[in-house]
Amino acid sequence: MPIIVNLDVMLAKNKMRSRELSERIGITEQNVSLLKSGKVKGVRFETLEKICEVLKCQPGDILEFEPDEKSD
Amino acid sequence: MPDAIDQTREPMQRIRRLSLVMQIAVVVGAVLAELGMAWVWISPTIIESVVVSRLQIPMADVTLDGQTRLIGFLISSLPLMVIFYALYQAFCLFAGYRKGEIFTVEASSRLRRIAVAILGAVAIGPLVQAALSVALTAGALPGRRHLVLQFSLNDYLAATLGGLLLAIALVMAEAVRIAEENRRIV
Repeated sequence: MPIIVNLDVMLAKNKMRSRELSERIGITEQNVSLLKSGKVKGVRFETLEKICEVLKCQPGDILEFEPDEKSD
Repeated sequence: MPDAIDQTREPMQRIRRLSLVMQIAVVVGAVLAELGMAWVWISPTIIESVVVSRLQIPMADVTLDGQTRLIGFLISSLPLMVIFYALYQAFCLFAGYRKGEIFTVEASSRLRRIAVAILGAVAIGPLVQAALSVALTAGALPGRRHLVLQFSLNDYLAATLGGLLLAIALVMAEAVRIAEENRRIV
């Protein structure tokens, strides 16, 4: 998928573990793990807002668009 | 969040309570239907008042010996078997609801099977009545035998109910797909 999730990078920059993030944003650690691996269908604005608030970043720091080579 | 949890818990408790009541009703209904069927075909008086009157055949043309009653019972059992299948599916559906399995592929499939069974029962209803009329008057003199074909308001209502259930089952299948998609949104 051309949308890349950089949550693991932002967690590393903030020296935060997935468990702490999950507790602070109120979703399960399993869902944070799925989000990190990009195995989700979508992200709610509400979740994105909480992540940005906790990690003090912008949505663009977490989500990145990388065009698929095949689609060119 | 506690408010949100309460909002989902209360409807689920109601669904569980209703499902338990419905499971009991399904079992009682199935037992009564079978007993009722046997009771009807045991007594010639009841056959006359229940079956013959519904078919609108003159009693003088009807033979009610043991063999005819057995054949009548077997013919009447055909739609009952279809209804039993629908009741079994309903029992399993409510058992799933009690376990909290609402938006599942299995629940929507069972709903669809119930709808198809009801439509099937409606479809074979006139054929069963025709077969019953032939079986009951087979012993009558030539010219006094009957072939009854009926389609009542009840058949129409049952067909409408079956169609409605089928539509709900299709909607449920779509709801299952949406619920699954929603589960994958964090």
